[in-house]
Amino acid sequence: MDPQDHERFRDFVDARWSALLRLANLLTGGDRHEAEDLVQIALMKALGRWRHIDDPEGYVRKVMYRQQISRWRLRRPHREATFAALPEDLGVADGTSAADLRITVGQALAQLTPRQRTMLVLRYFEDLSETEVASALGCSVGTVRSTTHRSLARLRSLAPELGAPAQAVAAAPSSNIPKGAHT
Amino acid sequence: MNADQLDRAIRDVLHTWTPDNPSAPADIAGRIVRRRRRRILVRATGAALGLTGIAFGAALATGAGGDNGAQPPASRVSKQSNLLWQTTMPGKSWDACTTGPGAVYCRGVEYDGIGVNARTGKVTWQQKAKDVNGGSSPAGSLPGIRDKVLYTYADHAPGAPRAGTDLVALDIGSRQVLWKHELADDSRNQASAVLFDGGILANSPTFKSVAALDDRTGRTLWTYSWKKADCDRVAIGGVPYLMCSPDSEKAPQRSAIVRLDPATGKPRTVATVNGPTAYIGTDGDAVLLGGMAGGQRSFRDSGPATLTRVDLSSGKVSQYPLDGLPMGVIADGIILASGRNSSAVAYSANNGKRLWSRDLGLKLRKDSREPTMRELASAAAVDLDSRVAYYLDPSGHLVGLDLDSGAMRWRGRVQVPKSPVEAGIAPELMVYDHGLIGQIGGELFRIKPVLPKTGS
Repeated sequence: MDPQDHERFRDFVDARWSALLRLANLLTGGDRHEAEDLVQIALMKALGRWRHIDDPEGYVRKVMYRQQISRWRLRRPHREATFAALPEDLGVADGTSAADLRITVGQALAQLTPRQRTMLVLRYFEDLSETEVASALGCSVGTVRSTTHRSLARLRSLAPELGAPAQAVAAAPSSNIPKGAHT
Repeated sequence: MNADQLDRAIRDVLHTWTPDNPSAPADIAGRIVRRRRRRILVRATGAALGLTGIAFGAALATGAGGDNGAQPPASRVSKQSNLLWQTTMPGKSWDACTTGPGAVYCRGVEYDGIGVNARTGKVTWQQKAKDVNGGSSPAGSLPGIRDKVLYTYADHAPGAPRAGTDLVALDIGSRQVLWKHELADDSRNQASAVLFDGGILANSPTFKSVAALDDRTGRTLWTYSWKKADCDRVAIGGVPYLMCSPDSEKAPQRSAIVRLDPATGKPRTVATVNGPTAYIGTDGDAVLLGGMAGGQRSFRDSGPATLTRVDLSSGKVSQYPLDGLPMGVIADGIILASGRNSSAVAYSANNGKRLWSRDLGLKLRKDSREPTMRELASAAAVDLDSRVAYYLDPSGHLVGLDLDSGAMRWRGRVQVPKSPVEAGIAPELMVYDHGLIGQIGGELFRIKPVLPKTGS
């Protein structure tokens, strides 16, 4: 790696570390060590092809998705159900409906399996379409649809306060059109 | 709650959550670059160095003979090089060297460690062994260097009939021994002590256990033991793994790859494979194992083999038939094994396909007392920037082969004093700053090959 590439890599890491770590934390269920490891592995892979990557952020994020899907494939069922608490900073139920809702949803998300949560993170945090999620994870659109559906169903079962779906099938974002870049 | 409300709530939670301390740690980019370099170094130098030297020497010599007839197109071979320095190290017998920032470190019978300035070739410091008549392990290794600490080996009880072996942490700056830890046996090879992210994994306290040691204090962080298997210790991507193969015919005939949690030592079996296997090395996130496929009784016997590729992420196991056990160095998806009569054979690490074979044209003398034994060439030292695999023989001859085609790209020579044949002992060659650092006995040198321009 020549000094110019090294400088570019350093700038990218410094500028985007927190955003990537945030995504990794969501993907790993709030396990800080695993999240940092996930970001570092993705950056190492990007480093090997740095000169040839046009969109470093897109590349690194995609590696993170794939790496995460590999991890959950590796895990035993009993490990899938356990992970560190996700958003600890959701606040305290103060009687206002919005805060209560955030706490409820946050706690329920933290109890999903990594696979279920990854699917929701890609759909709702990364704002990827079903087609894009399928492409990123190397699975079919049908798998994305069914996993998302099951994830939402489990979210509801974990948090009965969310109530039954008004239209069971319409729970997931239905459009396959990309909703725009991630924030 | 209807679907839209749930949709909004999930988005809200995910987008409003920010992890603690999200800012980038100091020099995280530099740490990633160094971590990747370590991985490349492990991949390039391979864990097979010691194995190629001694344990599998016979299998290598007979495992993949002949040429496949698909010679690469002729190209210009450069004989130009720039010998930057050559140093005769003190002491008679040297076992292993490794490179660190700006320096080369070696250990031998008379010295637990010696530092040589990589720019000038001058010996900058040395740590004498307590018993200068101790045993040697010429196919051994040095565990490595981290944060200005050299990890080396020394006799546990110098002068005693069975001295034993300590893993020793030497502070390069102060030349002080920071700590020692007695190992289970006197193996001083690449699996005896392995640096991982968070510590150093030592073959201790028994042959069937490992101890993770704090690399600054030597304190035992955790231990892990097993039964009915022989396990090699390796670090892949900074994570400790065990490559386990049955230790006898009575043991369950399964090999296993076990990941050890760096923080706790908690084991997790990544994959199992039927039958005994030998660890070849890693290729990216995959582990390569070699197995016998022709009813051989031991890995020393030549014959058909199986290449097993295990994806560490998914645990997926793929197996491919081969004509011989491809023990050697792995570089960017290519296994560089030694063939018959001073030849190199390249196999695809992805599917075991033989890519090319090439006579190295090196001088490997036979041992007149033992005609079946001869000198060995060094393991390949691969410069991935120029994609050249370099080899060195005990007489000082060097060659560089194109990694992808096997075409000869460079020949070089370093004058070294004549020495008696030491069969089964290989010189050491390391890539350093687009050049090479080589060690033949007590001779250490740095040479910069001048490669022909590509396309010529």
